[in-house]
Amino acid sequence: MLELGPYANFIIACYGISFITLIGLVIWVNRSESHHKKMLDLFTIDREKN
Amino acid sequence: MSAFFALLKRDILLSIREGGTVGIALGFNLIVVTILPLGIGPDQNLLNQIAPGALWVTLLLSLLLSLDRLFLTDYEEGTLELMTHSEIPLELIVVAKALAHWLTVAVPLALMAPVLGLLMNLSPSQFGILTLSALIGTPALSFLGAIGAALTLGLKRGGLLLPLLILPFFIPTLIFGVSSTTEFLFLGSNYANSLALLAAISISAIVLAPFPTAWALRFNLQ
Amino acid sequence: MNTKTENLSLWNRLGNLFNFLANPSQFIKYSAYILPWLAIISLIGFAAGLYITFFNTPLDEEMGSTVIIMFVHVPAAWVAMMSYAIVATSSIGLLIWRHPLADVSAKAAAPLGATITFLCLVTGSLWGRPDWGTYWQWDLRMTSVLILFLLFIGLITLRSSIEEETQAGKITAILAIVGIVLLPIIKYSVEWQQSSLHQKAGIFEGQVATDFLIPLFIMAFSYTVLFFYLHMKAMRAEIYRRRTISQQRKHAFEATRKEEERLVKE
Repeated sequence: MLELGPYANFIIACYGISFITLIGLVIWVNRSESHHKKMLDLFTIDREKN
Repeated sequence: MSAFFALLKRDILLSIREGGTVGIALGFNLIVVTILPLGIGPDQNLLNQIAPGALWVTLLLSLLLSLDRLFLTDYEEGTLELMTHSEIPLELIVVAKALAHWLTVAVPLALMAPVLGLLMNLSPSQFGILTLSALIGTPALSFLGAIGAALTLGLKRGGLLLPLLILPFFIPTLIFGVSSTTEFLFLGSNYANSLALLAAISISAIVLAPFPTAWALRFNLQ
Repeated sequence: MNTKTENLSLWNRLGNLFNFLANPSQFIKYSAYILPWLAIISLIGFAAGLYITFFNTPLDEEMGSTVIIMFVHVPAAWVAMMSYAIVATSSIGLLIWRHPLADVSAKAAAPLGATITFLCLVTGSLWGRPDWGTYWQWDLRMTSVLILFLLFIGLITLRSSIEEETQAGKITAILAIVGIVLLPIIKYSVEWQQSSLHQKAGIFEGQVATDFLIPLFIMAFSYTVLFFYLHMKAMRAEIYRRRTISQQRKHAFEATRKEEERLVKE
């Protein structure tokens, strides 16, 4: 295991911010994809009913 | 070509007789340079040192104020639409308008530089380079600014959006303008290089910027 | 006249190269197969990269342990530049060949690129504090990344303030193209203004120890693959959104037509 040394805070902050943001982006694109898919399905079914 | 000069003359006359735009730009420039020393404190040496940078930044900001009017009046009246049907290409119309903007707004701002230099504690022998570098550098600002004016044409908040889009593109002019002034004033080194680069940027902007501007205008007129 | 038509067809053929990508339905179909692989590859890559970083990196005596910040900072910088390149190429594709997917691609890439550029700025500033003693330095690379970030912000705000969507796409594309022409000039002028604090282009000139290169490239590779995953997902979301809108329009149009027919009969 790597010794982080006196600047451990900075290293942890960098890795923390990077990966939290990247995971956030993954969650965001997935949510927005499924949301718009749902909307599209809703409208297509609606239209067929009429 | 005569159509081009007729258009240029019309725009210059309109701008002079309307009067508002250049007055606002000059007044804005003056008020910013007035409150700057009040904010920083009246240290003469410090003011003298930051003078080139401060004057160039206020010049950029004052010029920005007038940019959103560049096509707006003609666009709202429908004149711009008519102009696109005339025999001169839209690119040339853009050149005429940007040139008129430069003559009526940027040149007065450049000529005003000595007055502002006085406020920033520069000596009269140092005024020349301020005006010279501003005259060489500002064509790039008018022509690059025209791109932004065309992009934001007809937007409700176009005037607010314009600085955000265009200021990054003003950075090269700012850097070479300030460095030529600083080199002349403080370093005593060869300032011809920076002036040449400043001129190069202005010339390329004059040649290239009308194309994206006309492109954006066509999309906005559709 | 003859040469002109020939040129035109050559031009069109060049555009046709991208045809397999240009059809939204095809894109939805193929991306569904590709996406899981991208996710798996980037996940494995990040796991391997992080393992090497924290359990297998020999320390740089000069820089100390903070050197491992490089493994998240440098890939972010590369991916940030790549994402602007993607926005600019998509913009050219939209304006010249009018590919319907090009606008979707440009729109999807901009917020992702802005976020990653922001990450690059934050990690760079956190790396600067221990190594240079300051969070921010107006040197060449930091300044140009900041300007890149501002350009992304400009693209996003310009697009969002134009109501009509096809119009917004075209106008934003012009800004992206102007931006990619001016970025090198801006960079050159900043370079001219000041000598840099950074080690100059250290990575490919053997200044960085080879021990660091392996984790750096693994992380950069995973970062790139992750970006393609995010971009593809965001594009799919945008395609679904546009389809929904066109469905809504059709729906509204048919309803009006029926209503009119009913009125005519009465």
